[in-house]
Amino acid sequence: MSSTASLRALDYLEQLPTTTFNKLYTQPSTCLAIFRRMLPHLAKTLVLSLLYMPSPFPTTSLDIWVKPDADSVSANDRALSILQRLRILSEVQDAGRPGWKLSEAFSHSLKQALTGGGNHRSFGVPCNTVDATPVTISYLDTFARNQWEAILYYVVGSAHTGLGGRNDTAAISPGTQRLLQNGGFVALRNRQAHITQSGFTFLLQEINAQIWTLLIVYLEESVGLGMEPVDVLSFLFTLGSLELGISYSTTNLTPTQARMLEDLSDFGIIYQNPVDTTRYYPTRLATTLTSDAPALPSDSSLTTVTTTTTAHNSSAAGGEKGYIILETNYRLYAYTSSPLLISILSLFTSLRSRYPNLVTAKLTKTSIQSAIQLGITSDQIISYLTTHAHPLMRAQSQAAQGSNSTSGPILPPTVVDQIRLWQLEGERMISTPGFLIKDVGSPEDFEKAVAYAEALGVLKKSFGQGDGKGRQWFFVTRMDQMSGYFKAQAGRRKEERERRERELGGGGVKREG
Amino acid sequence: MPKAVKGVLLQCDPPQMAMILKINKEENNAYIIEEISTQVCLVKEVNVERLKQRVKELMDSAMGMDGDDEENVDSDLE
Repeated sequence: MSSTASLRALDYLEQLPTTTFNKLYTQPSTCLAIFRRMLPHLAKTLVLSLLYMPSPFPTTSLDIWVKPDADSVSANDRALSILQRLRILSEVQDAGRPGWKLSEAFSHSLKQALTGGGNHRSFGVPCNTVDATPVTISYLDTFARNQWEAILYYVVGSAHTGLGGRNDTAAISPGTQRLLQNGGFVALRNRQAHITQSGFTFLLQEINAQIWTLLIVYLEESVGLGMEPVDVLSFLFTLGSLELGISYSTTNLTPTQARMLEDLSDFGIIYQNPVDTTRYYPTRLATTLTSDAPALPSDSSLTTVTTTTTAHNSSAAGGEKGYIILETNYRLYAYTSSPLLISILSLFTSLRSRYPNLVTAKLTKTSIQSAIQLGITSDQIISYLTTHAHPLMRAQSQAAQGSNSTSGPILPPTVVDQIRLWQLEGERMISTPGFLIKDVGSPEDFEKAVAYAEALGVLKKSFGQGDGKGRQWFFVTRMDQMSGYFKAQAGRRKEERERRERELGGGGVKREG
Repeated sequence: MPKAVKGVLLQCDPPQMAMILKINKEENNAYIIEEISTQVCLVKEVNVERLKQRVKELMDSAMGMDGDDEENVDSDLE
């Protein structure tokens, strides 16, 4: 598995029912995308060797292929398990022997994808007429970047404060806003979007992973909107196989896919000329969906092709190179002019001054604790600062370690510790709602009840031993089962007492006699 | 017969417990149902958030959060 992005997609795919898979696998583009992107190398080899086999492949023969050492066997098991989870491979009985068989639909479509032919049109149909207003690749890149950054900017939650007069920002549509809210990336407070913990995790991912994260939320939402999830998925996989800079026809799309065009152009994944809706252009965000290439070109290549765009378009990609210098005195210097990056920083630092290419800020207790109140954890802040540390900081940490191959800490350890301490300070109180149980009875009864609560997994804490006051209290998070237990105990005790009384009554007479 | 009391179990360190006790005393036992030890107590569910808020205020004032603001005045250019 090459990246977190495909992991997320894999997680989503796995929970689909088999019928959905069979429908998905009728599209050669889907099969090719899954084959290229989601399978580990060994699984690819297995699929290719089974692809043209007319009959199921005996499991015993497969076992011979695998070296009998632990590493190879576990790699093989992993490959087989992924193939099975994606319903590509299944175990069948062939003439009394167990064997492996490729899914009928998958092997058919993959053959078609590899050798061509068929009338499936699943790799998109290029427009055969010339666009009256042709679109250049650099324009598509700029469009994609603007759209995507508008989304990130909205997630950061400062879109309304107007940081740096970003008037050219594409406003994000109400549909996308709703999607981000439903995905839990932002929470509305006083009708203003505020970033949540998962929103911050979202921001920390690389662009390709972000797109997949958002698209998976989109997939989950689309079911509720009466859209066919199979159509949605196969269109996404189709997009991954399209070519940048070529326009494709919208005529062969299903109704669901036609509805998607608008949403996808909101995300910046495709571009549609508002006048000419018979064609769409995939942007780089789309064509890299199922590959490892960077989704948005790096800063240097962008500035050469889009010299006309304004300075603060050179932003997120620049951030990937690292732009933050953090000093031991909690001062922070960020070499960026991007409003997006500045507003991310403003979530957990107190900003001081802004220069054309530099922002200075300081980490303070107040700034960190207000971030923590938003649900951002100290670890997230630290990992953000680490991943975006300026190359100089990396160089310094390596120099400090000398020839030692293990590189030292990139951030000043004092600052990292202090950030953690600031978080801990807010967490000195732990509160758990539940029930305090008292007066259980004899020590044995108490121990039994505590053991029962522990077995149920509702026990939080017991205060029996060692406090010298002979208290036998314990605290549980749920009461319903405990009260059942106590009732049963009381009932049993009552029975026991009655029985003993009866026996005692009878026995007493006997003994005396 | 066992007795069950509904509430919120609050676990904290002894200094904070001292603050909780102080606040509880000042507001006529508005919060605590049962003091269990120097680190644990049972608190009325409806008042937990208010208690946390009060403890935070008390702690901030005790630890002098205003010192931080003073530092904010200085410039990075100096």
